[in-house]
Amino acid sequence: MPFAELINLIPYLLPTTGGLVILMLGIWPKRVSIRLLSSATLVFLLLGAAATLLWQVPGAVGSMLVIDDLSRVFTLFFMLGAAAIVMLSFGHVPIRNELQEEYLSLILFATLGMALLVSSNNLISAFLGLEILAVTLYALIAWQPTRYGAIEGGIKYAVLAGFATAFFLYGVALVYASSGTLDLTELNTVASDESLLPVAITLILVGIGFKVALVPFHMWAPDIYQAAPSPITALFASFSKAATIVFLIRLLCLQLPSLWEALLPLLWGLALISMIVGNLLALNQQNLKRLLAYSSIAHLGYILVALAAGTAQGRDAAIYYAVTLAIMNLGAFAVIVALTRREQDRENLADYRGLGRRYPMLGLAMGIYLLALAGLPPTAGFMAKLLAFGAAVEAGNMMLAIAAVLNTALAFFYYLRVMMEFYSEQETSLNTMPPTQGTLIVIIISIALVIGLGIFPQWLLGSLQLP
Amino acid sequence: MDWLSVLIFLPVLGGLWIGVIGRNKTAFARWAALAITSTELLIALGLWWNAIPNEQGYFYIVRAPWVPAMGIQFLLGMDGISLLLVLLTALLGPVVVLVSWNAIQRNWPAFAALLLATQAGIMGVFLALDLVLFYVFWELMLVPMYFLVGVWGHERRLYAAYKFFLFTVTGSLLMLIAILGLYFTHGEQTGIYTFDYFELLQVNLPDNSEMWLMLGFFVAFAVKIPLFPIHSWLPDAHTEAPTAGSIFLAGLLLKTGAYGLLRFCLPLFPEASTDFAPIGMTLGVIGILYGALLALVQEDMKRLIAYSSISHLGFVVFGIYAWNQEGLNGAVILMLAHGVSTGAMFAMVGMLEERCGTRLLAQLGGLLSPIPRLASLLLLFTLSAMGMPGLANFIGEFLVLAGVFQVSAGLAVAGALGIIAGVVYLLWMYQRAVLGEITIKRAWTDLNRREAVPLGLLALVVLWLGLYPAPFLDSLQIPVTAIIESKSSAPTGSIDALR
Repeated sequence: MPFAELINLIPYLLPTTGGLVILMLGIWPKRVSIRLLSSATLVFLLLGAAATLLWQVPGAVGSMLVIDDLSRVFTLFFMLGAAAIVMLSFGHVPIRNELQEEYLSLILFATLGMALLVSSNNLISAFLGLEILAVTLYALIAWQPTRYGAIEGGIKYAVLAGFATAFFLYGVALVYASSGTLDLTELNTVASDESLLPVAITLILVGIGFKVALVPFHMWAPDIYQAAPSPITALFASFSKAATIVFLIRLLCLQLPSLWEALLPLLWGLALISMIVGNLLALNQQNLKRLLAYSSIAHLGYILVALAAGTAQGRDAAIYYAVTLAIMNLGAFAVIVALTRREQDRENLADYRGLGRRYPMLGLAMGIYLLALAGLPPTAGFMAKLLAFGAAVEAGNMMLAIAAVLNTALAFFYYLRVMMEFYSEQETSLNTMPPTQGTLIVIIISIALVIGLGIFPQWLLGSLQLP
Repeated sequence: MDWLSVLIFLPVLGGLWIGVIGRNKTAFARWAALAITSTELLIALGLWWNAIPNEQGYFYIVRAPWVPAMGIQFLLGMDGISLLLVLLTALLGPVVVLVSWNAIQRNWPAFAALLLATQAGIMGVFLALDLVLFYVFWELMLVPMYFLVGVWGHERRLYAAYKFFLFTVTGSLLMLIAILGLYFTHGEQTGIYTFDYFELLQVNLPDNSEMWLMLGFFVAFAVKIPLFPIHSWLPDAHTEAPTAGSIFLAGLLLKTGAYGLLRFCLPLFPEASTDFAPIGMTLGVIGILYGALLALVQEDMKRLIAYSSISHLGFVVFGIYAWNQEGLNGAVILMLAHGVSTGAMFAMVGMLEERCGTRLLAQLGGLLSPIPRLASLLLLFTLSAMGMPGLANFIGEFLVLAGVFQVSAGLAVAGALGIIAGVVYLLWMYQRAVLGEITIKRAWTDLNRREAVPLGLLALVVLWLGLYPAPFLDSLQIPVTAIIESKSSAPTGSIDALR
C-alpha cells in the first residue's frame, strides 16, 4: 500500500484505534477517571479532524473510498461534531453520571461509520458505514436502560433500521445483478439503459428514506427523538442524517446523474409529502423533542426540493442545507441539554415556560436557532432556503417552490410557539442544573456558525469544488 | 464617510449595547435609546441638507460585494422617495422613545433594543437596492416587531402578534420566489446573475411570467399596506400593540408596503403593472371605503384609528396606480402625512389611556376642560387626518384625487366619498372623546414637557407639510419622473378601461 493511501486512511484509523484504546482503558486495573477518558476521546477526534487536512485531493483508498472535497469537508465536520457530542454528553447531567468508556467508544465508532459513509465509493463500504453507524446508535439510544422508554426506543430503532437495511441490501443485490459491479465509478459506465438499475436505486433510496425519516418512512423518528438522551438525539438528528444525505448525493448526483434524472419525479413527490406532513404534524406538538423531530422531517423535504431540481445548483444547495441543518439542530439540542433536569430531559413545552427570561443567554441562543430553523435572515437557515428554493425555481419547479414557501410560512407558526413559551411570563417551577462550560462552548460556536455561514455562505460553498 | 450604513448599523449596535449592558438599568436604557434615535434624526437631516442627486436621482449609493458567487451585493441607495421615508423613520424614533418613557414598565432595556432593531430594519428596507438585501431587512424588521407586540402588548397580544407575523411572512415568502424568478430570468437573458436593482430594471420579461412575478411582489406589499382582502391582521396588531408598537406599525411598517410598490412593483414590471393598475385602483378604493365604514362603528379609539389607516393607505395605493405626476407625488406626501398624524394620534391615545385607563369612546368624554393642551393638540391631528386644508393630509389627498381624476372620474368620486366618511368618523370620535360632559372623576394632569416635545415636533411637521410642501415635492421630482417614464416605455393598455 503506497504511503499516500496510508495518510488518506489516518482519519479512519484514528477513531477506530481511539475506540479500542478507550475500551482498553476501561479494563485497566486502576480506575481511570471519566474526565480523562473524555479528554482522550476529544484528542482522538481532533487529531482525526486535523488528519483530514493532510489529504491530497482528489485521492482514493483502493477502490473502496474516495477522497475528495466533499468527503474532506464532511469528515472534518463529523469529527468536530462528534467532539461537540462528547462535550454535550459531559454536560448532560442524567448521562454524565453514567458516562462510561463504552459510551465514548461507541461515539468514536459512530464517527467512523459516518466518515466511511460519506467517502465510500463502493456500495459495500457504504453498507459497512451505514451499519457501523446504526449498530452504535441502537446501543446509544438505549443507554441508561433503566430510564423510561430507553429499551423501547432502542428496539424500535433496531427493528426499523433493520427494515431499512433490508431494503438497502436488496437494492445493492439488484445493482450487482443488473450491472455486475458494486463500484460506483464503474456503475456509471455500465449500460445505463438497464431497467433493473433504477429499481435497485429506488430500493436503496427507500432504505435511505428510512434512515433520514422521510415521509412515508418517518414513523420512528418522533419516538426515538423522545426516547434517546438529548446528546444522542443531537448525534442522529444532526450528523447521522447529514452523512446519509451526503451519501445519497454522492450516489445520485455525482456518480449516477442519468439515474438522478430518471428519479426526479420520485424525489419531487417525496419532497412534497415530507414537507407537508412534517409541518402539519409539528403544528400542534407539545413535546419539544418530538416537535424538532417533525420539523426535521420537513427540513429533509426542503433538501429534496433542492435535489429534485436535478442541477448542480440543487446539489450544492442540498449539501449546504445538510450542513446548516446539522448545526441548527445541534444548537437546539445543546440548549435542551443545557436546560436538562437532574433526572431526565424536560419533555413538554410547558416545562420550558419562561426559561428564556430566567436564562437570557440561553433564551437568546434558542431564539436564534429557532429563527434559523424557520429560515429568517441573516442566519444560515435563510441562505439554505434561498439556495434550495432558488435551485427549484431555476429548474422550473415553480409549484414545488411555492409549496415549499407556503410550508416555510406554516413552519413559522410552531417555531414562534416554542419561542413564546420560552419568553412566557409564567415560569415553570422546575429547576435547572447550571450548564457546564463544554455545553456553552458548543452553543456559542454553533451560533457563530449559524450566523457566519448565513452571512458568508461562500465559506462553505467555496471549499467544495465539485464537478 | 458611508452614512447610509451608519443609519442602519447605529441602531443595531446601539440596541445590542443597551440590551447587553443595560440589564435592570431602566434610566440608562431610556436615555441611551433617546440619544441613539436623536443621533439618527440628526444624521438623516444632515443627509437631506447635503443631498446632491446624480443623473438617476440618487443622492448616495453604497456598494460592496457580499456573496459574489451569487451576485448578491451590499447595495444601498437613497433617492428622493427613500430620503423622505428615512426622514420619517428617523423622526418617529425619538418620538416613540419619549412616548414609551413611562408607559413601558417592564424590562426597558430589552424594549429599547427591540425598538432600535425595528428601526434599523425599516431603515434598511427603505435603503436597500439589492433584492436579497431588501428581503433580509424586510424580514428582519418583523422579528423585533413581533416581540414588541407579543411581549409588551395588551390582553390579546399573542394572538395579534401571531396573526401579524404569519400574514406578513406568507406574503414575503411569495415575494422571495418572485425575486428568485426574476433573478434567473435575468441571468438566462444576459448571462449575468445578479440581484442588483439597477441591472434588473433592464430585464425583458415574457408577458405571462411578468404578471406572475409582479403578483408575487404585490402580495407581499399588499399584506403590509394592507389592502382589502388581506388586511385583517392590522386592526388586531394595532390595537394590541403597545403605543410605541402602534406608532411604528402605522407610521412606518405600512409605508414599507407602499414604498415597495413604488420602488419595485411599478418600475420592475411596468407592463404587468399597467395591466394591473385598474385592479390596484379598485382595491385601493375598496380599502378607502371599507376602512372608513368599519371605522364608523368602532368603540375602541385605537381600533378606530387602525381602520382609518386602512382607509388612508387605500388612498396611497390609489395614487400609486393612477401612475401620473400628481398621483405619485400625492401618494408619497400622504404617506408622510399619515405617518406623522396617525403616529401622533396613536401616541395621544396612549397618553389618554395612561390617564383614564380606558380607550373606549363610551367611557370617555369632556376632556377639554381638564386637559386642554392634550385635547387641542388632538384636535390638530384629527383635523389633519380628516384632510383639513392647510394641514398635512390635505395636500396628499388632494394630489391623489387630482391624479386619479385624470384616469377615472368615477373612482375619484368614490375616493372623495371616503374623505367625507373620514370627516364623519373622526369628528364623531373627537366629539365623543373630548367634548360633552366629563365622565371620569379623578385628578387630571395635562401634557408634561416630555410628552409635549414630541407632539409639538410632529405638529410642526404637520403644519409644514400642509402649508409649504414644496421642499418635499422638490426631492420627489426626479424619482417620480423616473417611475412615470418606466410606464411610458411600456405600451399603454387597459388603463382606460375604467374611465
